[in-house]
Amino acid sequence: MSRKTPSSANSRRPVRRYRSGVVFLAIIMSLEAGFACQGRASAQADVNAVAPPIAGQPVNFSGAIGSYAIVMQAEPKSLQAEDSLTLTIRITVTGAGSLEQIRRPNLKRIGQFAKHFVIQDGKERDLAKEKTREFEYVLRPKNAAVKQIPAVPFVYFNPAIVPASKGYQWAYARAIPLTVRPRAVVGTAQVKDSSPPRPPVSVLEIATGAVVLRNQANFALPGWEALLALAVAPPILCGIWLVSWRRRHPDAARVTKQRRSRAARLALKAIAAAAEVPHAQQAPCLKEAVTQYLGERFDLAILEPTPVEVSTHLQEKGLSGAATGKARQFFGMCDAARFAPQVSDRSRSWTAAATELVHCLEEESWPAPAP
Amino acid sequence: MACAGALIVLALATLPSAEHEASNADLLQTAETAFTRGLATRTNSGDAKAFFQESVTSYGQLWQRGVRNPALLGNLGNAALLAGDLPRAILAYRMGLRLAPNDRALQSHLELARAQVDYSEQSSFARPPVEHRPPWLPRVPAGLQLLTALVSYGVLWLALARWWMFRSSRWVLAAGFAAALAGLLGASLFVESRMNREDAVHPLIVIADDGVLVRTGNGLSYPPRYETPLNRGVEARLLHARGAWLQIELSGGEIGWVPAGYTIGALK
Repeated sequence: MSRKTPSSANSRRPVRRYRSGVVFLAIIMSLEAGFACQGRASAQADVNAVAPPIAGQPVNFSGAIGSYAIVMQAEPKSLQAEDSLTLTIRITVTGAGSLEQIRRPNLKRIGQFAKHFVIQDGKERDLAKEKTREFEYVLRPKNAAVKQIPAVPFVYFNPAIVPASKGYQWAYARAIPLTVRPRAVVGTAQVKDSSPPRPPVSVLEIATGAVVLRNQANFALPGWEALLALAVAPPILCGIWLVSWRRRHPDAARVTKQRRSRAARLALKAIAAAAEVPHAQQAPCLKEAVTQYLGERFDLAILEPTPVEVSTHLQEKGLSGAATGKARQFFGMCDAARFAPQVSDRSRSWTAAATELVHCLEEESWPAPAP
Repeated sequence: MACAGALIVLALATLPSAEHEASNADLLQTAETAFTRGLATRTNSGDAKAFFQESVTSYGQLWQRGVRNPALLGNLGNAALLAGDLPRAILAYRMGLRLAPNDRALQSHLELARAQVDYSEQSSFARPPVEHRPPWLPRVPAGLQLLTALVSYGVLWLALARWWMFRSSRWVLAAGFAAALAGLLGASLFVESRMNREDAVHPLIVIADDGVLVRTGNGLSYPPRYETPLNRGVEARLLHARGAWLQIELSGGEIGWVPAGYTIGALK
């Protein structure tokens, strides 16, 4: 059995102490590491949860929250005007923040870029290990006066800065000097169509003389008073004309009134149409047309009236004996043609009789005005 | 005595006018000479442009003195186009077409100038409005339209009166035709009158520089309303002016603010 010497015992005591210290430290460190991870995660969560203040927000705020750096490089730096160069912008997360928040800077919105370059967006890629997002652009300097690629700002919000209104930070990618040469002159022999684009001949011509000095105003409608007068004058003049015409031609006015009878107009139209059918079939058509006319014009409600019924009805309406006699005669003639065709008067024009009857009835129902 | 007084007044009234006329003639002469010299030196682009620019200035002064006609504006547009002043050329052609809508030369020159404008996108953003009217359909001068409309209106009432007298359907037909013609021409005149009023209230402006951003407010602190900048030659209507900023409306109805210094307005 080995015996521990005091010295050895004494010498082992510190070792034990050392071991326990290491264990303690390891525990502390692991705890710290745990806390640190937790802290980072919570910081990340905080970054995502932060809402940048609206007040004082710069126009070109990128939307990124955290801490970032931006650099750019161009290749080539010496070129002819209108030739293309590749610009690569790298935005790196330097503290809190995430790659997802980094959006492509819009160079077209930067006046100096839009003025001096034709801009075309290129590829973009994430370099996760470097916490960097890379954007490519193809730029073409518009002319030889372009001396540099202007600085590109990247505006982000750093929530760690208090007060929050001062949290907006500008990071700039430095401007890159460029050497832009004028484009080499192309000899006329080198191009197929050597003639430069020329404006049409008419652009090279100008009007000369007094025609250039005359005055021509834009069209403007007359004032509302004039328009009102112009609108009112024709109806008034026509009204005056109409009244004077009626005074000078009272008969014509009466005839016009007769023509205004829609029933008579329709009846005359039907009578004219009946003239087209064979003579033997005219009577029923004419009787129907005249009956309809009497129904509309004199309220005769019977569909198949006898001559006596017609004359009685018209007498009740106040028409003269001559008119009622004509009506009775016409209806009698129609009945004869229908029921006794062999004895009916074939020589007579039934359409003429029907027309005459309608005119006679219209004449009586629209009496001439007293002279 | 009264007659003599009237003559004196008349002479006094015409004296400055004669002087003014002579001065206008001088300006015209200057403009024409500069234009001719510009044409003669076209091989030297720089010199030619200087001459054309001088011509533009003289024609512009004539306009400022109140000379209003499409020939002057056509000359001004041509000189500006040859001087490389695209925005002014477009403005002049547009204003010339307001005075003479049927002028084929102005139409074709305006198309030529618009073809040189660098519209930023393939979309219709900031492009001039598309003309749906067939090119062969002539525009009737407004005065003639008004006269025809009035005659048609008179014929309408005459036809109605005749119909009332004779109850003939032919007069109804004639009245209907006259009413349709009068209505059509009246509507056309109304539209033209509205357009003229619109021109007076919201005059045409043209963007004079490349890369002008349309912003949401009258200051650089306001964000751009559209990402695409406007280039020289883009046409717009002036809605409102506030300080050194103008609120404009593009042909597609897009509204925003641009610095007044980057535009040229109606030639007043």
